[in-house]
Amino acid sequence: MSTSSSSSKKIVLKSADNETFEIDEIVALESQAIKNMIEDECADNVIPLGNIDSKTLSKIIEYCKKHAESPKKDDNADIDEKAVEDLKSFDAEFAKVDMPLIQDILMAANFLNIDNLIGLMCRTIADRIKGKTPEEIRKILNINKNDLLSPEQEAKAREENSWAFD
Amino acid sequence: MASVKSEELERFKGLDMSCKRWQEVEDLADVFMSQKMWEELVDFKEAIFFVDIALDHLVYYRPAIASELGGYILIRDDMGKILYSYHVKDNTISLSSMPSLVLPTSNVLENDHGVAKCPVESRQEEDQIAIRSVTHNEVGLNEFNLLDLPFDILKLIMKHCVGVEYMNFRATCKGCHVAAPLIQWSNEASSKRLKTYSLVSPWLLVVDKNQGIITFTDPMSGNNYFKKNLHVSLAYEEISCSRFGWLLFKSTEFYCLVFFNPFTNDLRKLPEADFNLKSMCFSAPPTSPNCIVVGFPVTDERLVLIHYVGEPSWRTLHVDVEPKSVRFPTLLGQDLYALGGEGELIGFKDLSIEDNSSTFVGAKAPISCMPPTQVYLTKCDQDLLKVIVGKFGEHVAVFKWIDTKQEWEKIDSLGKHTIYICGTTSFSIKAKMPETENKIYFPLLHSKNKKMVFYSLATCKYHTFIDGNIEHHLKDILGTTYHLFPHAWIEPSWS
Repeated sequence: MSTSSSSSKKIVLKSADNETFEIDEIVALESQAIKNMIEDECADNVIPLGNIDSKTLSKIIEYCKKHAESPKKDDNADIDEKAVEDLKSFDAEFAKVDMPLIQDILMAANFLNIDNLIGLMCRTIADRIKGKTPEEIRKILNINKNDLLSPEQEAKAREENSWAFD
Repeated sequence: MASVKSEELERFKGLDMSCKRWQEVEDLADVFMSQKMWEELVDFKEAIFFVDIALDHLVYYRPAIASELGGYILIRDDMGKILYSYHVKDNTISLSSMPSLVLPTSNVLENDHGVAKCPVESRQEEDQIAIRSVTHNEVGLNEFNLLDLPFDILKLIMKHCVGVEYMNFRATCKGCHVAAPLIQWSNEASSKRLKTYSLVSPWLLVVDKNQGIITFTDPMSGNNYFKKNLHVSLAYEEISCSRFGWLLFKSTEFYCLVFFNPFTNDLRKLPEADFNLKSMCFSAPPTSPNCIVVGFPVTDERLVLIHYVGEPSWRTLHVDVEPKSVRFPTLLGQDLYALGGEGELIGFKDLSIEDNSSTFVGAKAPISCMPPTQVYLTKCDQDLLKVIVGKFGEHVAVFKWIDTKQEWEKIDSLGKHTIYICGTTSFSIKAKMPETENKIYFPLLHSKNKKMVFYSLATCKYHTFIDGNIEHHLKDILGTTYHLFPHAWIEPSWS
């Protein structure tokens, strides 16, 4: 358990809209990218995150806090099942946001290299498109019109799909 | 539909059948010959055949007609109001109403061949306009380009998508198409990914004998999926029951009752029963130790046969009911319910007690005041529901059985449930999406857009889904098409 070991050290993150967030280092270490920066000692007191807005960043910090507090799986083999359940329901609640924010979080999590969060967001996107047609998926994900398949490609994909269970 | 070659008819030129029946023909070879001469037509191509029952005698044939109308046998009903369009190749019947303005008269039909196509064409135009208005949904201005995501991330999203979702996601844009290779879900590695996969909605399975394939239609998207490689042929089988992804039928190939999962090709034979059974049901997937199978004999024996999966034989129970009339057997725990010939509820309490004496016959449904109807029985959660549908779907009523009062009570909503109905097998499930709640799915396609039709208890009308939107408001099932091939709703399962 490593919840409060080095709680004294603080890291300050600055969002694209110049809002600063002071967090415990242990929370910041959930991000592999920040961890690398700290280890390489190239992180000053304030880490500017020029491509993440404050709304997204505060969500990410909320996630990292919760996950930093929770006991890690490999720490203890017979981890309290309740803690696992608790984290699961936190994740489920956390993902209940609109699609643009999910996409922003995904992009930011990818930049900050937070594996679990990337996984959670990918899973959420996959859940949201369950039972939807390609047209609906395009609407949900707001996909660029210029990126559509050509009619020939689409016809071919449809033909392939109709036999995919054979 | 069958045809006979004109040169072969020469044989009968001199045959005088006046005041004679076929049985009285002296040369029996003629009789056999005449039967052999007929050849089944599986494709009517451009031909059209019109039968007018309303005008008693009229039969009209034209070998070639405008392509979209060819291939049909058109039958006008005895009241002259309904047109049944039988498509020979698809083996489907489309129902449409005959607009009074273009009611064909025998003169018109004999002289002018265009009349019969009027109702079909006018409807088609209406519908095409309706479809056009919804398919051109503009994509928002604030576009998020999936390609902005690193390729690895896109692949990761695709990894969480299985089966239909994977395929649909793959078809959304170039980026996804590139990130996701085509997957054949039946191969061993991929089918493992489907183990825990469940679909949003059951599919309609249709056994297309002419093409030797089975077709699955997803009622949500209208997409069709085909399957040719089955370990068991379904072409000549009569599906007794379909649930949990399994079909139950008497196999003509194995001479016994079998459970068959068409998605995994898993086949499980049942022990031989002493009687041929019809009207069957089962309570759980055959992989479960709790699976009970029940069936009523096709003969007059007043019995119900029960098989507990895993046991080597069937148990027989004497019941006080005519087995021939029994339909829609439904298990509720250890109790068995069914509908009798007049739509009355029949119940058999606790099948585990030998020589069951507690058969009861419940009240008839309040159907006497309505015109000809279809009655269906289905289990909904722990309730028994009876669905009464008018001949042309012009009225749909749902009743719930109140055991304490021993009577049916009309209900106006199914809550979060959806009922899937077809001729031999119907079931209800809790809707996985709010869009499908409180609806009844019939094995009907919209005649023009070919999407599955459902009845909404909220609007009291029939609709189809187009890209998630509820479209088309039909007050009855005129304008829909049904299959004559064996079909059943199936909940695809790969576990």
